[in-house]
Amino acid sequence: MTDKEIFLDWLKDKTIPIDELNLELIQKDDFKFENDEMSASDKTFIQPQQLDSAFQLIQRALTTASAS
Amino acid sequence: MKNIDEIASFVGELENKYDIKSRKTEIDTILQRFKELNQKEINLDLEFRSDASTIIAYFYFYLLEQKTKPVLTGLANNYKIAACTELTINYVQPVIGAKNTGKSIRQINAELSVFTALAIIGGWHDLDFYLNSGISSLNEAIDTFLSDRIEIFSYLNTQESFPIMLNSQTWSLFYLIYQYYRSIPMMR
Repeated sequence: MTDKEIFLDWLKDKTIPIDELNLELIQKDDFKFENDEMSASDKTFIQPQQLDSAFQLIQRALTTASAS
Repeated sequence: MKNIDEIASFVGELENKYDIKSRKTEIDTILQRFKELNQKEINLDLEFRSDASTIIAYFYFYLLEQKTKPVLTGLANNYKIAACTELTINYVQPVIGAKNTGKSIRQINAELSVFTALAIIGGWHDLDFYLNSGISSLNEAIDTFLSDRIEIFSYLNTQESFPIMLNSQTWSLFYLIYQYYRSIPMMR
């Protein structure tokens, strides 16, 4: 299966998003992005060190919460 | 319900408009690192659905187009990107198995959702991320915010609701308060 077919196969059981689906892509002039703005800028979507920091932060938060 | 052929055509247009393949690779990186960190740091073995990154990448752009773009006047900023990704992951529930833990699968997926949003915002602002703000009261507030958020996401029914804009505003406020605290010398 292609990625598109995998997605469509998964989506077909998800009634709520499909019911609400507007099949018109947004074509306003404002939206001149090729992707989303992460890709349109020099920023990368994700940076490895941020993943590690985010994980540590969440573990600290969960530990603090369970202790209180 | 819409005809599946119409939806397939729409998804084809999404493929032309967005670089879904690159996003899939990025999602793979996030999932893999989350798995490694859980293994390494808390000895938690996770199992993901095999098609997780494909579905998350496609559904992200699907939601972005459906739920966010119609009410925007410009580009999606990093908070909306983080919020949309967070809700997408929570909807997809990519983690399907976990060994050596008393946590529920829903909680682990909630942790993955919040983890991803945090990392996106951290990456955008080049922060070494809130880990130690230097202000103990702010550290405590961040911990409370995150643990509460994970609890909410453990129960949030994204089958019925995709509050992307409100979610985005929450992350925006989170970052704003963080920066405000950090800017006041007497707080440090």
